[in-house]
Parts: sequence; structure tokens; C-alpha cells
Amino acid sequence: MKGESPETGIVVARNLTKNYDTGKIEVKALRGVNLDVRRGEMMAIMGPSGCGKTTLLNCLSGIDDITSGEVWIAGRPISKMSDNEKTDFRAMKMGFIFQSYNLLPVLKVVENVELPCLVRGDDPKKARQKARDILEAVGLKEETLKKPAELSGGQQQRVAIARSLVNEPDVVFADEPTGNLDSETTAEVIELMKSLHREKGLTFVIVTHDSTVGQSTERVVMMRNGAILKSFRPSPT
Amino acid sequence: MDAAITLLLVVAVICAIILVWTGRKRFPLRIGLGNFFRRKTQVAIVVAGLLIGTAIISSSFVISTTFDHTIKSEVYRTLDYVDEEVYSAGPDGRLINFSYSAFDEMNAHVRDMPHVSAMAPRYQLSASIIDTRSILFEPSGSVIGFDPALDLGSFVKSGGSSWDGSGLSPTQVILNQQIADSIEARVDDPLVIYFGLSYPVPQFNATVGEIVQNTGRGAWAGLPAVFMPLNVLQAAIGQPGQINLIVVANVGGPTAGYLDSTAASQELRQYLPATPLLTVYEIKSDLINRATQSMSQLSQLFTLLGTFTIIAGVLLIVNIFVMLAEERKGEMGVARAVGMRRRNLVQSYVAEGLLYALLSAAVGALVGLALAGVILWAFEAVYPARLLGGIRFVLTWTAADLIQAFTIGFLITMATILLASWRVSKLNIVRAIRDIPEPVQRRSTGRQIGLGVALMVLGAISTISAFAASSALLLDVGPVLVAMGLAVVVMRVVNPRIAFSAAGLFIVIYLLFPFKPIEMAGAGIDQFIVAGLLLVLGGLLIVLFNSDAMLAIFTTVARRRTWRPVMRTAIAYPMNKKFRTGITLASIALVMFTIATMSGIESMVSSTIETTEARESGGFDIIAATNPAIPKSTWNSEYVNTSVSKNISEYHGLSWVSFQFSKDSTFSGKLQNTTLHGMPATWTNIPFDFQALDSKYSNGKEAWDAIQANSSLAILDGSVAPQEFVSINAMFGASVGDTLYFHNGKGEVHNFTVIGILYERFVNGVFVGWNTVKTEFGVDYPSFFYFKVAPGQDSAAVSHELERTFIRYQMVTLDMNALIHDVLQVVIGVFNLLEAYLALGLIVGIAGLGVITMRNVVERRTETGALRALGFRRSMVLRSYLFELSFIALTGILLGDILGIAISYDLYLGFFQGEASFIIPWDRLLILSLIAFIGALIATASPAIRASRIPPAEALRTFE
Repeated sequence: MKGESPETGIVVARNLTKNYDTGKIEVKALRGVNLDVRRGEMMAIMGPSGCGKTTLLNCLSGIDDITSGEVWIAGRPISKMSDNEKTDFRAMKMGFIFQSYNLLPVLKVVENVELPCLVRGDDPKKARQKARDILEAVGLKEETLKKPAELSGGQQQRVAIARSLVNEPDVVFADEPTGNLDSETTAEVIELMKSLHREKGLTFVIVTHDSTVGQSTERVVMMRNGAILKSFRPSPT
Repeated sequence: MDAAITLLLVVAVICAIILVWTGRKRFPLRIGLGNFFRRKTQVAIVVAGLLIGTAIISSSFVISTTFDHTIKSEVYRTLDYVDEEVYSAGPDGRLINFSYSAFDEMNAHVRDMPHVSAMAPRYQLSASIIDTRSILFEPSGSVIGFDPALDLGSFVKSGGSSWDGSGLSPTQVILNQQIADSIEARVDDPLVIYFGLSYPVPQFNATVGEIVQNTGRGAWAGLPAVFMPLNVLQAAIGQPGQINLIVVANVGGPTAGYLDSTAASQELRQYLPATPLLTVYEIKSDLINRATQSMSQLSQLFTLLGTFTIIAGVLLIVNIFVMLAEERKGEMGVARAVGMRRRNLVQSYVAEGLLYALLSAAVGALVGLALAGVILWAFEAVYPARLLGGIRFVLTWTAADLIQAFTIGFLITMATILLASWRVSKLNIVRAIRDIPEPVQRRSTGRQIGLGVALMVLGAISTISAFAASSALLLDVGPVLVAMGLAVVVMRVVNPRIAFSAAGLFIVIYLLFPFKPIEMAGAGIDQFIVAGLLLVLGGLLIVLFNSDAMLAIFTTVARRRTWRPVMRTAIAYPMNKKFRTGITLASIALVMFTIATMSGIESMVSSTIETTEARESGGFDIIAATNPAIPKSTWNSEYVNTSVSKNISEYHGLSWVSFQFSKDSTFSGKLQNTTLHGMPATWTNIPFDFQALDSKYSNGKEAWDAIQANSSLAILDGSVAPQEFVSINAMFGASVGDTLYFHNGKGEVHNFTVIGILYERFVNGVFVGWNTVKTEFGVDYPSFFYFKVAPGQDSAAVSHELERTFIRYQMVTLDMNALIHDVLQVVIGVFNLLEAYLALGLIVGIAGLGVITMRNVVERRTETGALRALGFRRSMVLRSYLFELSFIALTGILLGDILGIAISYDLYLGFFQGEASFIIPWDRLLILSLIAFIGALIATASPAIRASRIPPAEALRTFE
């Protein structure tokens, strides 16, 4: 399939290791991880605190450098790219959702969402229209001119979701997207992600410690001590 | 020194109070002190920014001490032991002879004058001296006849030994080094001395017996002088037994005796002989007071202009402490949550601030010493010693200067820290802990409306008072307060952007409007400072509340893919923190405003050179004066036979006499001394223009003709009109229509009516017809001349030739154009010096930017990580920071430049129109702006580069 690794998957990791040198000791955050994520899959990475979930996410997305191994995204070996190449690749091919939303507080909602389009080089008017459209799709049509501080946590996360999708990425990486939300809002956000996944066939890689979130995905990968323990399909709720 | 110790005690007491107050519960003090020592680099940068204000204050004190010491040293040198003079002077100011017996009579009572140490007789007169070996001459020398046995102090020979001046032969004279250098005299050189007496001029042939140093008795009055025994001089001028001066020394010596001049003068007056009518003059005390006054005005100017930098420094303190608070918002919120009171928060900040204040004030005081040295070096470059009579400034300072500066700097810093700490303590606990930004305020609160109303009332009172007191300053402040108050009030119902933009626009337009109901004439520098502050405030409001419009412009202009998102973030961030951004903008804009205004004024002054030359000189190249007045016929016959006359195309000789007048017909109050000039009737086309003319006369020629025809009419020089920027030789004020009452040579009371005032200010005095001077004072000969050099001739050479030709008459010449040029160059040099001084304030602005950048990098760490994840390259992150800083720096610089140029134009309309051209000094402004901008970039590049290099994963990890 076009855009996929030599083997299968839109996201492929082989023998991925990541070590942190703290000066006194070397921490092995990832120990030879192998992972395939199929196109259009909604996958969760779960495990106890400190097991390497976020590190794995960061390495897969190119936000963090790897110690050894290889990573392909949409058939491109990002582990061999320079910093600028990885950065440009992220702008074109990936979307990100963070636990703390990481919206720019100084920009309005619509300006936050259109930012990735401007980074990619889209015409400002087109970027603005795309942002409006995606905000309408996530139910925030009336909030476009507000600043993030004027929104609730759930609304801010919707904005973050809209931002992650505005460039029609190949993969969306989400790090604890519901970590700062209450259960009701968590359910709303997950439902939104599921509906977008269904409608647009997006690939989601979600790091979470919330079993509810894990249950909502198509596959759960369990980690412990920097390695994948098992991978399974969650039972439908 | 007592005052300095008192100030140190004040500082110590304040420190003790703070330590006790903050240390009562210990933990606020520990927190405060701990925070100070936590980040040494940050402390260093903060202290560097804070110390500037103290450095400015310290340098002002040191400069003042240096000027004071230099002036006094010069007076001590030139007057030596002489504290008072006793003499008799005629109405023209010349010394009148009196009998030696008057000296004997007074000297007999020295023991009865407890404050008087000794006195000595002298005969002093002007003379021109020629060294017939070197063929060089000095037209404006002095001859002093002294008694070696009685005279005060002593000469100092070239080898350094003291000498009373005795042992000279009847034809030997003593030269001081000053005149010896002037005529390149050596011991045994033959001299010809022409004494400054009435025509025919007596001549004396002498030889140089000794050349003495310009110190001790030889430095007398700073004059190029020849000394000879009194009896020899009396014989040479045919005045046996006559003197014209008694010099007096007080108890206490050359440097302290003058402090008792008042008492000594009273004692001297007690024993003055009945006749002749002698005057006691406190020469040393008077010279020191006058010189000190002039110099203190200059040092005050430095201090006042330094106010802008001090204000910028205060703004920086506020900015720094507010940012430090924001940095620790989380821990402060937790501290408040677990029971720390607001007061304890204030205490912790004040404790930390105490260290900043002590350190920055101490370092600042010392830096100010170095700064004063630099300023004095620059001052000497502007004012070469030759223009100051050979005076050289030597850096002089006292411990009291540094202590005073330290104390004032400390107090200003502590007061600002207290205010900032109080503001900072008012945080919301939940928002602080959860790092939720403060809600954007869209409407005025009740308290703010109250404040707005108070401002409006204050503004109204100020405006009304302005009319009552004719105060241009209050008229500036009043309406501005009303506008600000109104903006705060209407914000209840109107969008803040509209309210404050309107207020800002009103402030700028109102302050720049050139036509105000109250005259700006005589406006002082304090009004300039206030107007500058308010203008910058108005400009800031417009900029800060209209950032969206600027953002739209920049984003439209940016075409390249990677620039649009960079600009979006670069402008949004500073505009979101209006307080922080506003303060930094203000400190940069304030300094650039003053520099731009100074540059504008300097350009206008420079442009006046041509006009000034024409107006002052009337097209003539040289003015000259002779000491003995030469009979007209003698002058005419001598002049035409000289070779120098062939190098002169036109000349006119005026008569003159010193006289006194009063504007009061009863002569009560102080009499004004000035010069009465008799204009020759043959001078029919007098080129000097009028700035004010009686409406009876349609042009200047009619006025000049009128003073010839009517002996009760007079024309005055331009110094009598109000001066704005450059005060030249102003002796008294007058207007067209004024009447001047005087006693003529026969003691009769007559008067002049002023029919015109000239532009020309160089030659001071009252201009009347030739016959008027002849009739009133019996003077019928020229002694003041205007010469026009023939085409192709050099003015300097012709001047010298005139002096040489008429050395007998002690003709002294002045090259007008060269002198005017010199004066204007000095004025421009002073402007340059002041601009450089003001530019120091840019350091404050740049320090502010540096602190902001460091804070921004930390605050936005996670956001930077998010941007990198979204696709911002490292270079884009760097560009975003640099563009943001450039935006703030350039906005501040441009705002200051634009407002400075605008107010320069106002000043042009008010004071320079008609005399100067309005020129915008583009090159100077560009250079200064570029230096400021580059400085800002250098100060902020390092943290910006570090921010761009943080790996995204590391940045996304939440930490503090």
C-alpha cells in the first residue's frame, strides 16, 4: 500500500531503544520496541507510570531522538531525518493532542487551529476557512474568537483535537488526551475522536492510563519497563 | 560629611526595620534571601539594569563637585591672598586715582580689624606690550605697580622659589608666564609698553627682569600682566603719590579667608577715609558665587535630563519584580493556600528586594564615578581649555557624593519594590496554583470608576489652575488627566480598545498642538520632561491597544511560508502582556524621545549659523575696541596712511561710554550697567535687522535716522528680549516703548525711549546718535569699530594686522564669524554630550528586554515544545523570539523618534520659526536607533538561541 513501510503499517518501529543518561546512571526508557500501527487504526498504548508510554510516543513522532532502531511513518524513515526534515514532516503528516492541551494562550481559538496550516504554508484565507470548518465539526462554531482561557477543559481539548486534524494528517498522536478532564468530558472527547476516526478514517495512537479510553480503541498495547508486554483487542463495552 | 553619615544611618535604620519586619516570622526573610541567591546570572542582569539610575545620580553629584572644585581652585590661583579690593570707580567703570595717604590711613587700623590680615597698595591699568626682540605684541595686557615690601603673597620664580619682587632696576619689569608665552619674551628682552590712558598715550621702555609662574602673585586675576615697582610706574605715567587700588587679605589664608568677607568688608568700611569715595568689593567671594551658580545650572541640567533615565530605571524595577512574581506564581499560590498571608508574601519580596537595592545602589554609585569621568572627558572635548580661559577640569569627588547617590538610589529602588511587592501579593490562589491566566478585564469595576472620576476631577482642577496661574505645565497635565479618567470611566460601557485608543490619540494631538492659550515662552525643562512623559504615555496607549491592526499589516506583508506563523506568535505574545510590554516600550521610547528631541533642536540650532552670522555681524568681519579713545581727526589721518587700510573695504567707528540707567524715574532699586554707543551720522545704511520696531517707523532705516535726529530715542541690542535656549550676554530685559532714565555726565536726569530692538546680541548696549553721546557725556571720538575685510583678504590676518598697527591704542579685535562659529560649535557640542548622556538610558531599556526574554523563554517552554511538535523549526522559534524583541525594541524606538520629531516641530513653531530651518536629523536618528536596536538584539540573542535549541520532548515535559 502506498505510503506504508516495507512491511505493514502507517507507523512502524523496529528495535526501538531510548536511553537517558542522567550523569550517574543510564536509564533505559525503551528496550527494543517493535510496533506496527495499521492505517486507519485507533490504538492505545497503556501501562503503569514510568513504563515508557510517552517516551515511545515521542520517539514514534520524531519529537524525541532515539538511541537505536528505526521508525517509519507513512513509509518514510524518520529516524534517519535531520531535525528540520522531521519538523517539516510532522507539519505535513502528523497531528498532536496533549494532556495539557498546549494551546497558545495568546491566540484566539481559530488562530490556534489555523496555525498548523500557516506552518505548512497555506494561504491565510484558506487556512482560516479550514479552521472554521473543523471547529464546526467539533462543535465549537460559536467559540472561534475566544481565547483558550475563556473555555472549559473539555472545550480546550476539542480545540486541540481540531488543531491536530486541520492539516488532514496521516497519524494523530495523543498523549493522555483525557488526563485533565472529568469522566463526563472524557466520554465526550473520546466519542468525538471515535466519530472523527470513523468519518475520516484517521489513524490514532493514544497514550493513556485510563482504561475507559483504552476500551474505546481497536487495539491496546500494554507496556512495562520500556518494553511491550502484550497487544490485544479490548472487549467492547 | 555629617550629612553623609546621617544618610547612611537612614539606610541602616531602614535595613534594620525591614529585616526585623520580614524576619519576625523568619520564613518570609528566608524565602526572600533564598530567592536572591538562587539564580546568580539573573541577579547579575537585574542588578545591572537597576544600577543605572543610581549611576546617573552619582555622576551628577561628582560632576557638580568637580565643577565646584575646579572653579574654586581657579579663583584661588588667580586671586591668591586677595579677598577684597578697595577702589574708586567712575561712571564708565574705570578705576580712579586716589592718594597713597588713603592707604596709609586704612593700613594704620589693620590691627583694629580682626578679620583682616594685611593690605597693600597697587596701581593697575591696561596696557599693550611689544617685545621688540620677538616683534610680538599683546594688545590687552595689564600693568600692575606694586610695593615689594607690602604686597600680599609672593611671586614664584620659574625655578619654584618664592620671591617678593624686590631688587629690580628702574627699567626692569616682571612678566608672568602667560604674557611671556604670548609675546615669546625672554629675560633681558627689550619691551615697549603703551599705557591705557588718555590720548596722547604714554610709552615706557623696559627690559624683562624676571619671568614668574602663573601662580601666587603672578597669576593676578588671570591676566597677561607686567609687574613693576609702584614708584616706577607712578613716575612713568606722571602720577606720583597716586594709587587706584588697595588689595586686602583676610585672616584664614587664600582658601578660607573669603568666607569672612562680609565681616571683613564691614570692618574695612568702618575705616574708609572720608574722601575720596571708596568702594569695598568682596572679589573672591563674588567670583566664586557667580562661577558656582553658572556651573550649578549646567550640572542641574544634567540631573534633570537624567530624570528620564531614572524614570526608565524605576519602570525596569517594577517590570522585574512583577516578572519575578509571575515566575513564582505557583509556589506563591501554594504558600497562600497553606496559610501564608499576603503580608508575608510582601515581606518575602521586600527582603529579596532589599538585597537588590543595596547591591545595585552600591555598584551604581561607583559606576557613576566612572561615568562622571567619561562625561568630563567628553566635556573637555566640547569645551577646549582655550575657551574657558585655560581651565582644565580634574575629576574630583568626595565620599559624601557617593554616599548621597547610594542613599537616593537605594531609597528609590526600595520604594518601587515596596509598591511592586504590594501589587504582586494580590494574586488569586487558585489561579496561581493552576497557572490559569488572569481573566481579561473588559469593563471597569466600581473601584476603577471611582479612580477615573478622581482623575477627571484632578484634571479639571489642574486645568482651571493653569489659567489662574498662567502655567503651561498645568495646562499640559490637566486635560491629560481628564482624558485618562474618562477612558477608565467609559470602559464600563465601551470596549477598552476604543476608550484607551481615543484617550491616547487625544493626548498626543493635544500635547503636540502648537497653539495653546498659555504662552510657552520661558518654558522650563521641567515642562519638557512632563510633556515627554505624557506624550509617550499617549503613544503607548495607541500602540498597545491596536496591536491587532499591526498584526494584520505584518501578516499581510509577510509572504514567505515560514514567516507568517512566526509573526503571528511574535506579535501576539507581547500584546497579550500589555503591562510588561508597555513598561519596556515606555523605557525605550522615553529615552529615544529625549534623544530625538535634542537632535531636532541641535539641527535647528545648526541651521541658524548662517542667519546668526548675518544678523550678528551685519556683514562685517571684525569688531575692534581701543582703550584710550582716539580723537577723530587723529584716527582718520593715521588710519588712511596704514597698510592695513588697503585690506579693508568699509569701516565705521562708534563712540561709547559706560553708563547706568533705571527704568524708574525716581531711580529706586538697582541701577543697570550697560554701554551707550554713539552711531556715526555718516553710517547711513546700517545693516542690523530689528526683531521689534515701534509702529511709527516703517523700516529699520527710519529708526536709525530717528535716533540721529532725536537725542531722546534709543535702540537696544537683542539680548534684552526673552531668551529660550541659548542665553547670550543677557543683562537686562526691555521692550519697545520702555523709558530708560539716567544721569548724564553733568549729573542731569535725562531719558531715552526705546524705539527698536535688534536681533543682534553680540554687542550689548544702547544705540543712540553720535551727537547724543557727545552732548550727554562729552565723548566725541571713536573707540569701537566695525571693519569689513576687502574681498580676497583673510579676516584673521587683517585682525592681527590691525592690532599690530594700533598697538599704541591697545586695539583688540574679534573675528566675528570665527567667534560666532566657535560659540555655535560649542553649543552643538553640548547637545552631543547631552544626547550621549541620555543614551545611557537605553541600557535600562535593553536590560529590560534581556530580563523579559529570559522570563519568556522559561514561561513558554511547554508552548515552545508544542510549536516544535506542530512543525516550527528551530530557526522559526528563534525568529519568533527575535522578531518579538525586535518588534518591542523597534516600536519603542520609532515611537520615541516620531514623538521627538513631532515635539521638535512644535518647538520650531514656537521658538525657531523665522530664524532657523526645521530639519529632521535623519542620519543621526538612524545611527542612534540602529545602535539601540543592535544593542537590544545582542542582549536578547542568547536566551532566544537557547530556547530554539531545547529538544521538543524536553520542552514538553512540564517543569519549573
